Amino acid sequence: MTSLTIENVYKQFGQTKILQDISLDLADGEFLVLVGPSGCGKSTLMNIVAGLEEPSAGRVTLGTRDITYLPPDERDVAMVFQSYALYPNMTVAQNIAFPLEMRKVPKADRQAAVQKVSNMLQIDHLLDRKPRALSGGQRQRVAIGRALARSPSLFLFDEPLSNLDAKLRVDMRAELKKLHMRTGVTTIYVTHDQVEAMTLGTRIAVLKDGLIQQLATPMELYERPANLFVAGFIGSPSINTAEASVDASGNVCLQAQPVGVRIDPVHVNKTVIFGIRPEDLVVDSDGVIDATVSLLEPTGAESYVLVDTAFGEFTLRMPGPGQFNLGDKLKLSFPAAKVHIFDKASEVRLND
Amino acid sequence: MSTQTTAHTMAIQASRKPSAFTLERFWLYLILCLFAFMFLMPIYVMLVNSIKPLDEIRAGNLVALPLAPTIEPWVQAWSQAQIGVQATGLKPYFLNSFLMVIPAVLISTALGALNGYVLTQFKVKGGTLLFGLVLFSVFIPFQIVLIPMARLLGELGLAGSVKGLILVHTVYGIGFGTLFFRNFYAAFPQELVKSARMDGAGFFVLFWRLMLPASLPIVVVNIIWQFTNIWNDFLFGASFSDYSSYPLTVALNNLVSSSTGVKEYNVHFAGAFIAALPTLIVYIVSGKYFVRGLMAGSVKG
Repeated sequence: MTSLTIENVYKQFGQTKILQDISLDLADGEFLVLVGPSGCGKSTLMNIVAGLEEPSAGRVTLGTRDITYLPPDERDVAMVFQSYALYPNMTVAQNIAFPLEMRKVPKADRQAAVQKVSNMLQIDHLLDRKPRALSGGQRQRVAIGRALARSPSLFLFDEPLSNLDAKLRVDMRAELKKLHMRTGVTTIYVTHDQVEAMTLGTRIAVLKDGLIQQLATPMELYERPANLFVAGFIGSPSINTAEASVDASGNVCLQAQPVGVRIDPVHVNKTVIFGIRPEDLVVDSDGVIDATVSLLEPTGAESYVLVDTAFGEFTLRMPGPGQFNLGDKLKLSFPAAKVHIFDKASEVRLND
Repeated sequence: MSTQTTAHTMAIQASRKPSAFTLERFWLYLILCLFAFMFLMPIYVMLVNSIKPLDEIRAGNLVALPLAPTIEPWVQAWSQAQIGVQATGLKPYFLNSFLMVIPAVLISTALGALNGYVLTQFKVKGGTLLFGLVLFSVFIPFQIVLIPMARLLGELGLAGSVKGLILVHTVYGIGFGTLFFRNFYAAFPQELVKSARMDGAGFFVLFWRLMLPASLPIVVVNIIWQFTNIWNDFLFGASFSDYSSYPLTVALNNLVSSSTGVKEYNVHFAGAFIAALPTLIVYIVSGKYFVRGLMAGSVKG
């Protein structure tokens, strides 16, 4: 019913291309996360959907309406900003009711809506306060409440948790997810935090330099990154990489040692990038990679072991505190199915 | 362990708040007192002499306290002194000044705020050039516009009236008002404006409900500035008004310079004090708003 379609959207300022040929399709009730480094164009794309900026070319359709050039208030879209953007001179109740007041909703209905969302977000005891008397988490709740009160067909979140401290961010993240499950409103969520992206999104679009690098479900993104950038951006600690070669029959080799992956023979004699996630490296006396422990990073539930190898520094993810000491000599192996191979020049994924 | 503790206590002793009255402080206070004296002395002289009978002033000591204090000079200056044709005192001119200054300040503040709002929140074609031109008006000396303005006021039928003075001061006030508000609104959080636009606030709603309530500090700055300038203006008042519409500054000048016979210095002092009081009061009453941060709480601070 309220699906969103973005077709071939471009945005440029003079010679600077901010967005290039962006096409996205959101089904009703979907939670799409736009993720990418700063300057990748994710906020610009968000602003185009919100109506705060116009695309240089392309079309945005919400439900059955073409909203590409509609003013922001006629789009039935609500947005939550990073800085909360609460009106400082109005109380919490007035803030939440403001969009309804602008839409000339009768006073009684406005009050009912304020009651409803403030109960839902547990901010009903704050209704008479001004924003400056609220904590960061409370302000963010009010901002969400204000967006919710309009019952929009599309929710936009522009890095809503970036200004909160670490603990609160985790709590609010879970609450946002619950809220989305309860309301089922189609949502676009911009973040640069890959953990937020992975935990919240039904699908994730990874952006870089104004281009969508990959659009997929969180697990697909993690297990089958479409290129080296996505592989490196998603996952913490990040993926281990090393240069590898391809022999005459298409076998990928690390220093002439086949890793058990075959790729299309057209890539024969090319240099490729071999990638393996930290949790897929196994300590194994029959392993092919020699490694020396150089640093231990215990985090409590698991620990990261940094090792020096002939291919550079690798990271291993181990459960528990880890049983190694600095300087230990290890042998590492890995399941062939977990290996990622990328073209060195184009950085595109080569194996299945 | 023990050495650590000793080092710790020593550190605490070393950083104790200095309470001694050092030589440095002595000089600092001395200089500050000197400046305070320089600024307060004229006020003291005016006040003291405005409540002395004339003979005491003639006796020669301006600094001495009055022997027989009287409010007679104030009454004289306020309602009895000969200024125009009739002996009305400063009272009607005091009223003229207020009739001139209040509308001029309000209108120029409102226009300055609107200009600043439009120039910062909307992409106005040639907005920077426009702002440059408005700013230029701030630097045009008053004397240059005297003759064109006299002509304009004549054409409009406003010559020699309080309304004419309101127009002149409003026009001159727009430049500074625009400057103040533009710079204030340029620092206004963009996300607030975006949010309001998405919530459906139009041009005036956004201005009236969001920008203006957050502008109290700059409104006060602008009001103090405009009030002081317009109240103290003499040139426009002397050029564009007549007996019925003299502002207080012109009337004060007439009081001091045109009295026949004996120079009544005590009345002059009282008159000057009356003329200075409103600007003093405006500053004292509204000065505290200078420091108030009203944006607190709207965005992450």
